[in-house]
Amino acid sequence: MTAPRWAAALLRRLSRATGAEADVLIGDLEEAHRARVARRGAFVATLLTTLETMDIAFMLGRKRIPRLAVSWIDFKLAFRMLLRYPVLTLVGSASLALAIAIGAAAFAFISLFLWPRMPLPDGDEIVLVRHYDRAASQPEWRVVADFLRWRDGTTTLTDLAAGRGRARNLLMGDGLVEPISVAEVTASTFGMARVAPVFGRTLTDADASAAAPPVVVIGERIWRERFGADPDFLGRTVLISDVPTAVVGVMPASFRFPSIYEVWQPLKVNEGAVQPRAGIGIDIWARMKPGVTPEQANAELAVLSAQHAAAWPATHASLVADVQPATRAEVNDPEERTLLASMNGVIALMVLLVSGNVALLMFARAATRESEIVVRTALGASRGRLIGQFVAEALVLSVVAAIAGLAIAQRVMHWGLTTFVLEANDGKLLPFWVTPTLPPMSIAYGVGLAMAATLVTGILPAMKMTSGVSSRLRETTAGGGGLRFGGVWTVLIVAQVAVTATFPAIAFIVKTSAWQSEARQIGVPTDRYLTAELGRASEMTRARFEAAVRRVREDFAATSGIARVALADHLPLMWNGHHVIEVDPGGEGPTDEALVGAHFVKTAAVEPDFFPAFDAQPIAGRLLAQADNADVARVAVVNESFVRNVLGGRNAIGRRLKYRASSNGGLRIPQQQWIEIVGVVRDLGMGADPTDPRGAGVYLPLNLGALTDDAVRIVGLVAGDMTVATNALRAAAAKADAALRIGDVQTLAANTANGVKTINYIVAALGMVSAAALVLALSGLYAVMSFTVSRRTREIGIRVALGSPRSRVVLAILRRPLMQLAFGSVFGALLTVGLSRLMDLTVGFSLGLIAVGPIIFAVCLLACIVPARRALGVDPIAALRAE
Amino acid sequence: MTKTSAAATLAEFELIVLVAAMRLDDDAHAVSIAADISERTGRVVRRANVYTTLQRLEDKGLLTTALGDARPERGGKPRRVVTPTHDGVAAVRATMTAIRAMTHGVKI
Repeated sequence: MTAPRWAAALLRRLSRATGAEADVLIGDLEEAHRARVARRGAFVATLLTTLETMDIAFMLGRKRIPRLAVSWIDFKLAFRMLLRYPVLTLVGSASLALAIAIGAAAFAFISLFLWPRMPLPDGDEIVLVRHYDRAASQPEWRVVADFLRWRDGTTTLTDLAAGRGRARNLLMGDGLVEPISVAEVTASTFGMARVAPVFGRTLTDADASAAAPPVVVIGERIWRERFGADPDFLGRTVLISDVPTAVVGVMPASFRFPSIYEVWQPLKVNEGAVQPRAGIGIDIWARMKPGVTPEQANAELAVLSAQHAAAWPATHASLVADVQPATRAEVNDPEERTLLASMNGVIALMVLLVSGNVALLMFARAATRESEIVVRTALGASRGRLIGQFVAEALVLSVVAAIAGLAIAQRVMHWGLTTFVLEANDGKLLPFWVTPTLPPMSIAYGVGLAMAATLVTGILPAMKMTSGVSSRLRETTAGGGGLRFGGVWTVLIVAQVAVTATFPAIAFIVKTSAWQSEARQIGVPTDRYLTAELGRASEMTRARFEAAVRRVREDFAATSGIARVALADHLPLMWNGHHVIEVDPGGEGPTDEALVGAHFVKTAAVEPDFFPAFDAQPIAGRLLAQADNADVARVAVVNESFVRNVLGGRNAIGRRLKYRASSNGGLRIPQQQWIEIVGVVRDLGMGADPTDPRGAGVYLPLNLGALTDDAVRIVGLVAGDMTVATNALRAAAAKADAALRIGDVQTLAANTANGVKTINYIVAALGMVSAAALVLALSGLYAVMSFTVSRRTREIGIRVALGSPRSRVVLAILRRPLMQLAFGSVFGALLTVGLSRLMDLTVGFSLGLIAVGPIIFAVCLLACIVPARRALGVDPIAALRAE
Repeated sequence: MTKTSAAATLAEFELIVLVAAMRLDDDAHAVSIAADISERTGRVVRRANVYTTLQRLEDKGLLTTALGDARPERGGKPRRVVTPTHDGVAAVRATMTAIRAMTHGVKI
């Protein structure tokens, strides 16, 4: 029974033994294995031989790894070397700093969105206690009765608190109404959070009694912005949804518990009348007692759940309780979480790529010190000693880069979150645990990246420089060879060029789709149209809401400088989901591939005044009229895209359509009922995405009583000052009904720009990465070219001396980098197409996109110019004499 | 009291390896040395340790190695035969003397 062949191969490979030495080792392996088989059998012998092989291979292999020897003199020398080559130091440390900054900031962003932590004293102890209905597979929020029992029965949890979020209007003395999010919470919430008020007091149990006067605790930001930081504000009265409420305290700006709230009111519960699984829906929070684990809390809740089920079998049989972290991850989809987490890996790879690039620079510089290294070796310096010196230089560079990188990361974090809130999140606040401070884990991650960079930038060139020094000594004295760039460096440069070409290309593709949205015109000046969303508060009846909306509409229309006011559930160029319809069998265009005999359309419910408001004349038939208003829509107006895409260009008037699917927001759509088309208008930007081929639009009469999402949009053409019009609209809403919610007051142009803003945010981020990648690629190429020229000085001198044309000399030098550039560009194009597919972007063959490749190519060539000029400047006599 | 010689003294495992090599004579190589130690002392011997110890002893000039014949039980591969040098034998003697001197009169 011979020893496994792979064991011999492993031994040979890892021990790095060659020739007779390797034969002896393999012979020993064979002999020992055969003896073992005879004693213990084949299976055990194979197992033991495997372990022994690994043991021997690693021990013998390790022996050959030189031990680093670093002293303080190396650091002193390192500083001097860095000062001696300022450009290299600047480029190298800037590259690493940029990479570390991107790595640490991205890690912080990803951590905030995936693994948020509660920024309160001992915040990790705070948990969300939840009931889950196993039968219905959904959480159960009507848990007031359970809250009261848990509060008295639990031994693992303490400071149980409860609350819910409410949308309210805040009316100040200035007559302007502002929609606000109010957290109705129990007084225990503040004790649980362990955060003291800045002024005044927090809520008390007495505030929650039915007879207590209404009170409110506000956040510091509101106090500063709306109360002008007035120190005498305590006890002042504000109108919260029409109820005069006294302000009793101010909480710090950093406290927005449970997530984005800046106004807190008492949660009023009549404990005597609470029924199991009935009443309002609430969240329950608690602190785990010191030393208690989530598992122990869950175990106790399971017992309590069983007791509840026994006490209330009719309602609690399928309910189970559990505890969860109180912070909510912004991204919950497992696939998206995995994708986001894997971004860390991609970024770490980028840092490695950058490190490789800096290693290239270090190596190129080290090559100029080859003779020094050879001499030092000859004088007895060990390989470990030489490597130690390189590592010291890399460490100094990395430490400088880490400090700068982490400072940049902090700025990026601040800028990124502020910009994200303003640009991509429509100005809405993020949960208060999303703070623009670089968390300690990110700092540790950044330091880790710096250490990895040290190893790559120090050890890679050092190993290369110090390997086979004695043979190189022979070669160089014989007048040939010397150091050369190997395959690893080539791969590095090609990868760099590929990545450099990819980022701008992707940014360009994303930006192109944004431009298409920006450039989209609907024939009217969208920046002159003021829009707002009017929402129904839960305490409003539908009739009250309808009456309030009509009053706002009348008052707004009566304001001077306002014309063409209209109501609609979706306005032009805004996001609009699609519906599936069928048309009568009178001839139609090709149907969507996904649906047989059906079409995707977008639907908007509009007032008759909607069309005049946007200067839309009937192309065929008529527009909607007041008489068309009915409980159920019977007629519709369609747009030109509908005629083209759905009807194949045929006459639309008199044709009928019916909806297959129910509403996805906006108007409740009558299903399976024929609706007659009475008119055709020009395309008015149905939906926000101009590239969506499903832009066919249907306009139905607006019925305020049939809205499914309890909100309608108002639009008006403003002739005068937009600020005056905005205030007039807010005042009209406050006057109509204090409970009416008004939000998103902005121009139609700003409203539609929100989608574009998100894209611009991504493009800006991609642009920054592109610029960084470009700088890195240039520095890498510059290093290679400089190195090539410095190594080939003698050859260039001879070529020039022999009368070789300059163009040929340049070509000889540029051949290798040109090949690398070409390969990099090709891989970059492939990477772009692949990533575009992954990101679901359409790659169009626009001139701009095609231009990205040559532009990158040309810019990279620039990096070759200086070394090429230096090559041509070589004096043949001097070059030959120098050797 | 006996005075120890000027020859180098050995670490415990070095001593054992050298003594095994002396005993095995012409048959002394890594596998047989490991097996001999294992058999006599009852301890588990890592062959990797034997290799490194042999290397160290060779570096100190306490033994020499030479390639032996290729053998069929070794898959046709040669073995590296170990021969203790005079210094090696002297080192064994000196170490043993030191041990005897130190243990004399001590109840173990």
